[in-house]
Amino acid sequence: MLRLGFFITCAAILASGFAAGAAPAEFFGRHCTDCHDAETKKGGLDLTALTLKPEDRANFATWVKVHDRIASGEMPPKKPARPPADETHALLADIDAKLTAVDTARIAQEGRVRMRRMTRVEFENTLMDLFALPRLDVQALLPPDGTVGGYDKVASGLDVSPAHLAAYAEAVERALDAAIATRSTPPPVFAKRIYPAGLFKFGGNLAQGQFVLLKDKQPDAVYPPRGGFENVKGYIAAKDAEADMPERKRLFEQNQIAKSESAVGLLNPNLAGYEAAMNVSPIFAGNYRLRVSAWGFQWNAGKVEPGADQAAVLRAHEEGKQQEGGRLLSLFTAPSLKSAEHEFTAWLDAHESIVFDPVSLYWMGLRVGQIGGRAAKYVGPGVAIDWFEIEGPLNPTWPPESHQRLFGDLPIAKFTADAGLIPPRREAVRSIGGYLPSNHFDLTPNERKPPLETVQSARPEADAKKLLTAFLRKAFRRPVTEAEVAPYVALVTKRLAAKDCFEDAMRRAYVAVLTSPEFLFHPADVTSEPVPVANAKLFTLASRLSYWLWNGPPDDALLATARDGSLQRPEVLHREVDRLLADPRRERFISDFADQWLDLRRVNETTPDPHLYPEYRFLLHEGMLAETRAFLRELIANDAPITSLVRPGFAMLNQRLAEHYGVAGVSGVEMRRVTLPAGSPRGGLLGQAAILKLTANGTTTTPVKRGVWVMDRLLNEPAPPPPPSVGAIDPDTRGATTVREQLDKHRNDASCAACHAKIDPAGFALEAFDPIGGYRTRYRSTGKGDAPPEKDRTAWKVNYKLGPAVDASGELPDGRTFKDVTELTDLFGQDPARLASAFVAHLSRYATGAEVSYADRTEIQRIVESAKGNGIRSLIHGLAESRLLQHR
Amino acid sequence: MTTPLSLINRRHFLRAAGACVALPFLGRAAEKLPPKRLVAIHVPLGMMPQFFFPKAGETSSPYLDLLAAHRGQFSVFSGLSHPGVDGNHHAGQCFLTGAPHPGQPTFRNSLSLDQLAAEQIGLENRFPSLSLTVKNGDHYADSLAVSRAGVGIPAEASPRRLYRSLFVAGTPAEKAATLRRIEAGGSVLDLVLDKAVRFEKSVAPEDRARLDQYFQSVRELEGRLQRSIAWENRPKPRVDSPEPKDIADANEVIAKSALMFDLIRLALQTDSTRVVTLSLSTFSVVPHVPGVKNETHGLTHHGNEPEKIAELRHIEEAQMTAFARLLQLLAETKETGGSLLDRTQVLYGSCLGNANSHSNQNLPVILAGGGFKHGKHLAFDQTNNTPLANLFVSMLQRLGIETDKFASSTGPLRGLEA
Repeated sequence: MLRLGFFITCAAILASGFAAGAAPAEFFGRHCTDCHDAETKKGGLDLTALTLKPEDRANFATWVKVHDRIASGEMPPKKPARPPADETHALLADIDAKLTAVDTARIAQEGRVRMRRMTRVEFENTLMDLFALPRLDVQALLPPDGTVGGYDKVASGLDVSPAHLAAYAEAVERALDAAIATRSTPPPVFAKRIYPAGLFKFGGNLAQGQFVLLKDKQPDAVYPPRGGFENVKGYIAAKDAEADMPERKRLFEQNQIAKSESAVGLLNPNLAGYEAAMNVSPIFAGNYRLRVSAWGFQWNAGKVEPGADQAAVLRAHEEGKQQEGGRLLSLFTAPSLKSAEHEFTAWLDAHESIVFDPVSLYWMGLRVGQIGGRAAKYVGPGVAIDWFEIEGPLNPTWPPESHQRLFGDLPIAKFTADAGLIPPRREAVRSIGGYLPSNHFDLTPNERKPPLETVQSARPEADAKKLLTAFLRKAFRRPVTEAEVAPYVALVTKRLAAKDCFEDAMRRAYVAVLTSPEFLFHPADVTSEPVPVANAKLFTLASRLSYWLWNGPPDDALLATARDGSLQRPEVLHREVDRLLADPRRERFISDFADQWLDLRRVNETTPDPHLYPEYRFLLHEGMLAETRAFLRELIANDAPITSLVRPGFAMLNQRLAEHYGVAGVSGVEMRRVTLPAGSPRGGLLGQAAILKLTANGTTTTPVKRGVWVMDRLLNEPAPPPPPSVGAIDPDTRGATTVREQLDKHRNDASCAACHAKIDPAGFALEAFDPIGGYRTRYRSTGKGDAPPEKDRTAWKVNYKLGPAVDASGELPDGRTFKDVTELTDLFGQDPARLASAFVAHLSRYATGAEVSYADRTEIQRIVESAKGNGIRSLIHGLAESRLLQHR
Repeated sequence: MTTPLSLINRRHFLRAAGACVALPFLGRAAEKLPPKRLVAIHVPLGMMPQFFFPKAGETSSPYLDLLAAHRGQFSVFSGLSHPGVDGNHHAGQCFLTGAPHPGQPTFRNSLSLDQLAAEQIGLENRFPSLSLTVKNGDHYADSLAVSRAGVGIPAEASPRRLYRSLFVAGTPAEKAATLRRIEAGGSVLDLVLDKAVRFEKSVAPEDRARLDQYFQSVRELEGRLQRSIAWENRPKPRVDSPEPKDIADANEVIAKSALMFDLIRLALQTDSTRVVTLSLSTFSVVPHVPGVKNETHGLTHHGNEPEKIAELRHIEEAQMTAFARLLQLLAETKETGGSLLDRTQVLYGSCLGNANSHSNQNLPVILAGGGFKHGKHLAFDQTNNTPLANLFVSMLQRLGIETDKFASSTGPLRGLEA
């Protein structure tokens, strides 16, 4: 019964004569059925028996394939004689009209978008916004989302399982723990300036000779750099290794170095997380203001001299995990011989420890401080810390905003256990010990064992109703009726009757809200009314916009345009899109879209071989990710033309990336726009290290992987998967053969060449870039080869050799040739419409959470044609206004 | 607002059912043969084929010689793989599922061997299955276990937490708090289920299936809550071994494996579970093994360089030696009618046949224990592999599960007899 409308339309289409015997069959009979008949059935396709069956999705997909192969000129194949052009055009027009009609009818019936749950990232962002928490780390609790076409926003990839519901509940509990205030007064503020010489590991490292004490930008005479005993090569005999230590220890005590306010210069990168720990660990979670004064220098065997600008980071390590990973708090420049004060605010969880790491330094093999040499004889760059300051937790209001979102302005007071009331759970207040001694902070006894306080309500049911009504509006992203609020209030009442205190009873209700289907699911329906609320479809549209451009819930201003109906006016929609793109929350879209469209997540998947790629370390890794995101940001902000994706004429760079790309004159860690000389392969996606790394496997490149990426991500013409019988190539990095030579064996086979003629060309051009995105004219090898010109000229140790030459030339399927990657990007740049349609197709998958269907093609074409100058921002606006986003 | 009658009745039914949830009689194990168990261990970075596989007609190889003490207790297979499972490291999440094309954007995983076994033989245990790993944070599946929904089940990496959940009872206050939590959780589930019933009215027919998943999930969580009430009131088994400390250094992967093997033996011995999976990942790890200085994944892409191969061999031999110790632990644990190894099938293998070329064919696979007639090298065609899932069918049948199909199987594995 439901399908009747669709069925009637399909019958009409069939009746209009598309069945066997009409125009396509004639064309097929003349040009196709020699290969595609019932006996030969080339590629499994029998065109003599192919009729259009509208309800059959597989049949429809076959027809789409037939249309596309003919339209691209791939079929019929070049030999024998091709059909006359007007015949082909007529056929394609006929097929196109029929397929569009069928698909349009299907969409009108069942919509192109299905109802779906929130993705992991959306869930986390929504909790952060609802609770006004600057940081919440719950994604790891949730099972990974499935993807369709590379996007996690598509309904068919987003299952709901018991594991999901259980994980959602746990994630909400974590958010509640972070948001709810457990004190009537703010926690005490800890503020301190810390000088490095007295820090735990710093003393030992100063004694050992890895670090040096510096005053007024020169070695501090009260504690000279460690040295002596070295032989001609700079090594120390084992018997002499510790001979000077007793004297150094004595000097350290005598001159009270631990109390010195001098700077400390670090000459090696961090070995383990705690080597340069700041010995500070917050007792209370919250926002902290952190400041550090640091500078770079060149250490020349005991003298401080000017050198290149350096870079350092501050990281936070989870309690007990000082040796692993850590999360980045801030990356900053340490300019040469100039103390730079860097200040920022960051959320710190309780008991995280803070660690300094001079990330621009490299191991040069000779580890300073041990038998391999001492600071006195060392020559190389260094990073110095003058001091470090911490202040917090910062609470401009009390209780904090996050608490007020849940409990309004209800008072917090002492908990009284009347009549068997169960007390709320509290974490003990503590500071961590062990090798990270006290953080110079004395808690008063009252602070150490604070009284049990909790939010008080004199009229719990009324308060619950008020708080939950406000919260539900935000959580469900639309107005709510009294009937919808009532069950949650009833839950609170029930828990109070079971002797929960008000805080815990409300917690249950909030968990229930945030695991309810109205919260978890994005309704598909924009055109009908899910609930009896005015302008329901505009609220759905508002959510679509915000979950696209902010990857999170709409704010009050956007919801207001839904409530008053103004969002249906084009100029208001346009203004809101601009407002969303200007808001800092757009970074969540840029980051997530880059992860999905460009596969940027995969940059983290491989660790390049340190012998072949010694220059690859944190600073380069961080820089390449920042480059691609900054690039997208720049393109959107300036409405850059779509061809900028491949030939922008500029690159977003910082010092490390510029060094990696051979661009001079860029200093510091900040990303900035740098104009490139004409003919530079850099700047666009195909010249960005992140893209080049994620399409390699860490140690070797493969033209196939890169070619597949280009076809799918840049051109939206994904290559089919390899046939199952194909063997993998066995990479050989001993320098004897190149991967291009190894691949040729495949390409010379006619059945392989069909796909590889399309896949390989871009991959061959990109062979000009190694697995970490560096430009190369010869392959690096660990076996045979010549000494590279950069040997002994870099800040890192070069042990690889140069092997065979790179051949980056190729030929596109249409016959156009290129000799290098610059010429290839030129060729791509000549077809902006193709790039724009591909971009809009990918963007629509992300924004609307649905695959691009046949009937969408004309709409995408219309969007592309109406975007002035093919500007990327204009394309975004075009998509926002189109029926792809506006309708189900 | 009153709770609909249907919900009240259902809730009471579940409560009543909870009181009658069949829990194994404590003394049962002594009365008849011990239960059958399954352990599946995955080595994500593979084992070098030139040292793992015996030559044609032989049963020993450099790596298999490290298991010499148990030669009669295991079989080695060559020429097995999952048809359609490619995507190099992505295949790790398909090792026990056989779902095809994991690297593709349209990939959907399916129920894993261990979860099917758990559904059938695990419901009497406190833990129907245990999903373990030595290392979290991998990009390609920390866990081998995959639910019916195709969702990977998170794996436990902390031996200490595992020990506590298996053997350490909560205090009365903790128990009371747990029961309160369960009750509160039940109230929340009641509410959201009711919301879903109302929500359903506004959902288009094409979207009902998605909402059905939500319903099913809520119901299953309710069932689990009821079972956990029953288990909360049951004492945990007592063991002599003390609570282990977690090893912080990620490079101590061999020591971490050994710790997990100890706990697996204890868990099986106390019938805390009958189904275990374990992932032994060495991604981003420089194993603390003599002669090893480089990160494992980089070494597996040795490009045929002899020094790298030699270094990788140290790692893989250390892993095999650790596995030999697991076999030893299981063999020396006596039970009615034999040893724990006789009643436990131990699968040990990798999704990579050749890590250097990323090939997912000709996988290295060992099956130990379980009462099969072992000591053999079952060699299948190296060009046209036999489905690995055929081995899984044999394993399921040996567990007493009546089935002749699993994933891409074509039948039980030829030549493997019980």
